[in-house]
Amino acid sequence: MKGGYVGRILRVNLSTKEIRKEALPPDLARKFLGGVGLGSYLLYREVPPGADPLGGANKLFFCTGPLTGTRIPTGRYVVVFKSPLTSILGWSSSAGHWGPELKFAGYDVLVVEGVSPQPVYLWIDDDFVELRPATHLWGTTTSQAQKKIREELGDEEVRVAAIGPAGERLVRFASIINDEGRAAGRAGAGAVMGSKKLKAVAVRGHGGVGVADPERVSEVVKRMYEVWRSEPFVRSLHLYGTDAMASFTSGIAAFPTKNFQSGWFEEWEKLSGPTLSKTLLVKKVGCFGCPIACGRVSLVRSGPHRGMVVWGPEYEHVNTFGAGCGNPDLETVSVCHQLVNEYGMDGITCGRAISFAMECYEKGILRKEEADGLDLSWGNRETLVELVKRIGERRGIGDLLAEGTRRAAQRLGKGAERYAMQTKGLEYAGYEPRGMKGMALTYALGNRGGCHITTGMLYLDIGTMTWMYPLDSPLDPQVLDLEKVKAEVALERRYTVVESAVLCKFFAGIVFTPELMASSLSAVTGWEMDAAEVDRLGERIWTLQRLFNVREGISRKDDTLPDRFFTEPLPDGFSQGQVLDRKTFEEMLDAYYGMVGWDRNGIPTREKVRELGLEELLA
Amino acid sequence: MRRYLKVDLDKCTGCRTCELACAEAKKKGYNPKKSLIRVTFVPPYFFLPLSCQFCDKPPCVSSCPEGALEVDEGHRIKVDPQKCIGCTWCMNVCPFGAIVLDEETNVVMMCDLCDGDPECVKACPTNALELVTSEVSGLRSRISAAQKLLAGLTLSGEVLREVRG
Repeated sequence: MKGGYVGRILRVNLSTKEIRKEALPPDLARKFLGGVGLGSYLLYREVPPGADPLGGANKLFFCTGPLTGTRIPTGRYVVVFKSPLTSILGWSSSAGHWGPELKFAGYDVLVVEGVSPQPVYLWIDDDFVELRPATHLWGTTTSQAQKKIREELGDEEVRVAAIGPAGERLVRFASIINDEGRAAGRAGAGAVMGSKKLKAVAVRGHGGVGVADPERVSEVVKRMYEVWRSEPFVRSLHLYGTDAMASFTSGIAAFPTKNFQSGWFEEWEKLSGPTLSKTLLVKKVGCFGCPIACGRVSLVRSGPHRGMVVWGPEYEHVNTFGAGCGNPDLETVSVCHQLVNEYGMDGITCGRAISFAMECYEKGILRKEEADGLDLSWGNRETLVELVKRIGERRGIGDLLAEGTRRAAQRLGKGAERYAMQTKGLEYAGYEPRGMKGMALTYALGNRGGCHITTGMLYLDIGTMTWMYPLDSPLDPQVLDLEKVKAEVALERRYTVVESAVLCKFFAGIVFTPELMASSLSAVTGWEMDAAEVDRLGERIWTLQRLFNVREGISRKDDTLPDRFFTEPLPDGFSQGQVLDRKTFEEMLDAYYGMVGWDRNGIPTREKVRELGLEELLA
Repeated sequence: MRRYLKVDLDKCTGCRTCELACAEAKKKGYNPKKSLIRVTFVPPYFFLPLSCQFCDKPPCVSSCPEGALEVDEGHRIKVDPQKCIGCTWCMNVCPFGAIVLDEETNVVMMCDLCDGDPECVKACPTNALELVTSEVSGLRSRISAAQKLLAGLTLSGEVLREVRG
């Protein structure tokens, strides 16, 4: 391999304490690239069907990509695992500086297998790798763990990815936190780490990353900077953080409110990016090599948490803990954001679990005495903060909600399933699929469940143009038609390559054309790739992920959304009256399966699998 | 005339693009630990890029046991690779931690301002870095302070807000 890869996989078995360094097979790199692609392949090969996600057979694949650590802005890594929340493919990506550091230490991929009898953490210092006791760290929050490990190792620049109390207690949506407040948030990677008694992975690397054609990389960087400077949406991410999105989704009344009862939140401006910048913001933070710097640091100025430094808040939490729970107070949102980071859990699922409980309370399904005597009225700030803590500690009602909304609804019964806003067990982010109908496809078809970033559909649905999927004119957010299906197919492939490279969806996902992505990969790896090969690569990985899910029992019946979206028209705002039509939705599913070469039941055909070079998986 | 890298702390986001640009310019590939400018994180949320400050009485030069370092006419520190024995004593005494040991050649390195057109300055996406003389550096600080002071006055504050939109 000419460039991009450092060429090694580090494999650590926590049961046997065996540590091995393997060569990264070049043919696998070419076929699955890295990141979520390579991780999904390894997961398919190495984790048997029906494996208990919290048992010894599950593994964690921490994957960087060929672009990680280069000048092409990419500070990300992806963790792939079988999800304890959804029981299907789980992946989660995080930015900051941890991913590049793993690569600088000389590893493209870290595989963690087995279960340790006692809490441990992994220390990677270039070639020196060891498991160290972590009993004294068990119970610490993610920021405490990062600080203590750095102190213990005597180096303040060691990059630490750690779990908090939520991961230790197997909260099914526990996250991994690195670089103060960057999260591999979704689908429960932290719970898998907790089940393995692995508190953290600390990395220090002194090496570099070579590229095949440095001059061409410089040209690519120059070109992407030009586009970036001219792209207003990406500029707004620098000015207002990811919370810039609140103005866009609110503008079309697709800002999920009160557990998706509405898409219109009267007081949305109190939660918007400009408000955040004017009131709480103290610092804009960039991930490794990224010009956008959408990261925020905020300071809580009043109330019981006055003086709390918050690494955020991000748009999704602004929605889930804000409008989603009927709460217009940005300070409470910020406190919740910091608390979920400290406990180490996904703020999207956590916020949705709370709004689910609030709706069940409103509908009389959950009574006050069943909810530890808490008042679960919409927008109750004290309850919000208290519930985050109880979930992180699996205490009282928090123990039920720590299971995620699908399992919690099954346990509650009495029709609570109607209020679990999820697909395949993964709760939705801050985009209302009745007001942004392309998102209905993305939510229904995502290989990790109701995920918002497996495609860039949300950009199309708010009327923003993306270079990744050029259009002559913006699409209508309220229409579900074949144009949206075509966009879904193209974007899921391209975004899967973005997540394999590993690039950031805010940067590459918007300012890269497919051609620019192909040039980046070619310049770095020395392989000549064109846009068609990039799409083919994405299709291969996407289909592989589907095959993993099919092996776990997924089919057409799971590619759907809750009844609410088909039966309850949105009550107010710009999206008033909008609802999903079931017949149209099913027709679009048929069209989708046809375009991607899956049968009517959503199973990839043998011909398609062979065509993509995945026949080894058919055996 | 001595020139410095002036850092705008409000603008620096800690992205370390400057480190990548420097390592690349010095032919060290993409390896931030070989960069001659290093972004230092100070909890809870501060970032400070630091490189050679071109001290007037540089302790690295005066303390080098081999006399391998000297100040050139442009106030930069020059290392004689023949004389440097890689003892790293200069790294010990540098108050800014701005000296790097090149492990391949065992010779120390420090910022040379890329012959007056530093790559880190050009690469910074938020324009947090600027190469200025000490006089201009002071001027920048005075302008910034003056703006803050004027913003507090009734009439000038209003004017400034209007003009800025």
